[in-house]
Amino acid sequence: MIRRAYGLDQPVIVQFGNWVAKAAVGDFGESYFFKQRVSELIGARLPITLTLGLVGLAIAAVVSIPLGVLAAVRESTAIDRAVQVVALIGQAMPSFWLGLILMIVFGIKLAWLPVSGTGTWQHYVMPGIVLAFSAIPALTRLTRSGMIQALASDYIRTARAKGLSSGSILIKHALRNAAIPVVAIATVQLGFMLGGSIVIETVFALHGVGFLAWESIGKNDFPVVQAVVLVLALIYVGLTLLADMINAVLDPRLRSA
Amino acid sequence: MLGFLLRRLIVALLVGVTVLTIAFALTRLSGDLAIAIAGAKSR
Repeated sequence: MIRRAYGLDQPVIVQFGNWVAKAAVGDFGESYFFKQRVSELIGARLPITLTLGLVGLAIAAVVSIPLGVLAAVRESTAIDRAVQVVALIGQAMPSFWLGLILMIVFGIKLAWLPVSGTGTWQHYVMPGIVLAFSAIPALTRLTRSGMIQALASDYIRTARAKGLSSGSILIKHALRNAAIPVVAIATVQLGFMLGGSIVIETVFALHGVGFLAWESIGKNDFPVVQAVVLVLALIYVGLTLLADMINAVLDPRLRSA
Repeated sequence: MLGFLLRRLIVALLVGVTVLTIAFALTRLSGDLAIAIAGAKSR
C-alpha cells in the first residue's frame, strides 16, 4: 500500500527519473511527517537560514579583516600574537558550547538579547556571532598572510616612495590584492555556515532549514532530507560560482585559468 | 569573461547533477523506505 502510494514499487531507475524530473522544477514531493509540500516547507524556512548565514558572514568579515590587517601591519609583535591566539581560540571552541554560554550570559543573566525565536533582528545576533566564530580564524589568518605578502611587494615600495599615505597603501593597494583568496574562502565559509546552521538553529530554536533537516532526520522524513541536502549543495555551488566571478573581476588573469 | 563564466556554469551544473544522484542513491541505500515511513513495527 505504502510502496504503491509513494511509487516505491517501481524500478529504482524509474523512481530516479521521476525524482530528477520533479526536482528540476522544484517539486520535491510531499513530506511524510509534516503532510505538506517539501518545496513549501523549505521556502518558508530558507529565508531564516540565509539571514542567519549572511549575518554570520558579515560579523566574520567585520571582525576578521581588520584583525588580519592589524596583525600584518604589526607583524611579529605582541598584537600579532594576540590576534593569532584569538583566532586559535575561535577555532578550538565548539559552537554549541559558545552558543549556550552566550545564552546564559547575554540572554538570561543580562537579559540583553532573546535566547530563541526569529521575531526581530535581535534574535539573529547571538546565533550570528556563534556562526561567525567558526569563520573568523580562517579569514583572519588568510587576510594576515595575504597582507604580509602584499606589503612586501615591489609595488607597495613604489607606492611608499611616491609618498602615498599609509591608509591609501593599505586599503587601495595591499588589501585589494590580499582580498582575492579571502573572497574565495568567505563565500565557501558561507556555504559551510549554511550547512553548519543545523547545530546553531537547534541550540537557538530557530526554525530554519537546518532545524527542519534535524527534525526530518529524526522522523525518517526522506523527501525533506533529500531536498534540504540538494538545496544546501546547490547554494554552495552557486556561492562557489559567485566567488569565481568576484575573483575574476578582482584579478583579470584568473579569467584565462 | 563570457567563456570563463560558461566554463564555470558547466562545472556547476555537473556538480548539481552529481549531488542530485548522490542524494537519491544514499536515501535508497539506507534501507527500505516503505518500512522507514510506516515504522519498524509494521513488518
